[in-house]
Amino acid sequence: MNKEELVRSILTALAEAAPGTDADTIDPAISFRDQIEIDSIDFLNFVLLLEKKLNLKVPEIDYPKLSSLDGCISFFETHHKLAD
Amino acid sequence: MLAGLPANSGLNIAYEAVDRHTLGSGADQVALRFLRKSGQIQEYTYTRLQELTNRFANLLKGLGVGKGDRVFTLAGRMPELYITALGTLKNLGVYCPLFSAFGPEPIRVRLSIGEARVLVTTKALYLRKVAQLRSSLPKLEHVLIVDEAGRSEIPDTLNFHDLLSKAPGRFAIPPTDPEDWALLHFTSGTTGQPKAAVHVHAAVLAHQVTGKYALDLYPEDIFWCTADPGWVTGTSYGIISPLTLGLTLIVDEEAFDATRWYRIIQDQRVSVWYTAPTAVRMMMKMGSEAVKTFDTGSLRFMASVGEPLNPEAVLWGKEAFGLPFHDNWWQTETGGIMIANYAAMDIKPGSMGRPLPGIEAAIVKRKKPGIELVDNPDITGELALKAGWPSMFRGYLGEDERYRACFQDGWYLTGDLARQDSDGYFWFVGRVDDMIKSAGHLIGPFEVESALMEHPAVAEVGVIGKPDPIAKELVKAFIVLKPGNRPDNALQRDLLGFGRKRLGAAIAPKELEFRRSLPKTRSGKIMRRLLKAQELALPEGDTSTLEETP
Repeated sequence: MNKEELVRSILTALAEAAPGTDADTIDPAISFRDQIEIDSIDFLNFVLLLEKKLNLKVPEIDYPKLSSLDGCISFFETHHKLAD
Repeated sequence: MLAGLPANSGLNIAYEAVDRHTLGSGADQVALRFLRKSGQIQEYTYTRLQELTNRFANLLKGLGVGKGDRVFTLAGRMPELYITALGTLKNLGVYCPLFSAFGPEPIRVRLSIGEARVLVTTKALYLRKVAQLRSSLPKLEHVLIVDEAGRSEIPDTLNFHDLLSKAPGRFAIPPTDPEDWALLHFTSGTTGQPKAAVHVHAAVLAHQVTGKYALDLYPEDIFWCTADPGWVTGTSYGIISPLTLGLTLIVDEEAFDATRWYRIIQDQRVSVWYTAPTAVRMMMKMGSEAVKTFDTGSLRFMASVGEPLNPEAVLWGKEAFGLPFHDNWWQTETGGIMIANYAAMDIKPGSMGRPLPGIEAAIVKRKKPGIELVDNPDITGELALKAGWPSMFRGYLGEDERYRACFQDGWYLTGDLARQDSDGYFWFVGRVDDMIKSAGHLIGPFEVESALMEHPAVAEVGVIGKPDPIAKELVKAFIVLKPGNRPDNALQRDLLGFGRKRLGAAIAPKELEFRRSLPKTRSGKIMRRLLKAQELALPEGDTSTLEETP
């Protein structure tokens, strides 16, 4: 999986957990919560969907690292071997 | 104890919460310590809070806003919300908080029913959720914008800080009758529009006493209430009760994050913590090991409210923090905690506890006419409270009939099903109606159904609470489509998105199922109970295990 595919997976999971989300408007540096309609239950679903898509277990203690697109990318880049 | 306004001129919540402390040794004590999103810590002493709330009261006066006028907030836990709430009470206005996660539709309905004259909100929330509604809200005269970036250039709005800094810092609270209106809190009904429960200044007596008994609060405490200020807990115990006791209140602007929460307890030396079952269950999921890497030894009392806390969660508190969670029970209508596992008694894990001193609670059966008190223990019936406690709601705004229907033979009927054991402890069983309890929020199915009905593909809709291990219940919608629409994934996502856009994430359905038809009564009313029975795979002929019809 390369970075582009990773970003696509993240945004797909986000749109599934929080339907109605416009992936194109996501500011990667800002937390999802500050820009789209997403509550703590949606966020939990988002993480579970990501785990399934990326076939990876995210320890609960790391959940907060996934609160923005940039956060997700850097977390999965270090925990997921990306293709060049 | 309460002080009362100087010169015997009545009782005002804001005087009890703020001004009285500035006369004595509490003047320089920190009243509010905000942990801002930016990482910054902002402190307000009681004296500073007095000055700022005076300014806000003068600001309102300057706008021609006075006694009985409704002042709303739509905001998270930012200092301006607290200044607005208390300043409004000083000016004898009626303060009403809205949950910032509401979508435009619930916001419009509540501003309209509540006849809001003033709204305080942020630039982002205004542009996303309110600007589009202005033309439909003729009574909303002033929108005050809190803009982090400085001056706002948004049409038809005023800048909160500009006006606040120009308003005088001295204000004499006018004589206040204890029965003068103080607060409006919205709650949902199973049918019809949301209801605005009216509370009066006299409620402050209950706020203070219940803070002492049920939360064990003392002036030396560092108290943290995690409730959102958009709900009644966020006002009664997130502002009023702790301030009347002259202690220091921690306010965290961010949303739930278990690890950060443990750090807050450690760094702020929190001694009393009031939180909610959904948060506790999320922390449990992460395990007690994560807690133990922090020093939470400052804690001496932990309490929970929102929906019943399962016994495992009560005990998990002991394992993780060395203290059990004390569950308690109350409602928007009761204004304050009514039944609790309070400090001085043994906890029964999973129970609501026992009525607080001065509160009489009973299990009743509705009869035609009147009610019958259940004398034997362990019989399920409706929980009722003897009417007349100080924080009892005084009405639903503009809905006298709905208000009267809550009372029978001098008892307030709560709409909650419960039983009382032989030791006098109450145990929550369910709702007598179709109301949904999700993550501590009471959600009316009718409001959700009405929003979904506006989608052009929807012919019929029924909404229920589906059991969920974390949130207790999740909102689930059953939809019958109009002819010509295909029940596929794309439409399902579109409908879920439509719901969220209108209602906001907290009350929109999380799940949606297409049906060919929905079960209805002979008069054509959708039978949500039957939908729920089907969802739970209960025998459809026997829904008695779910709820009893009053």
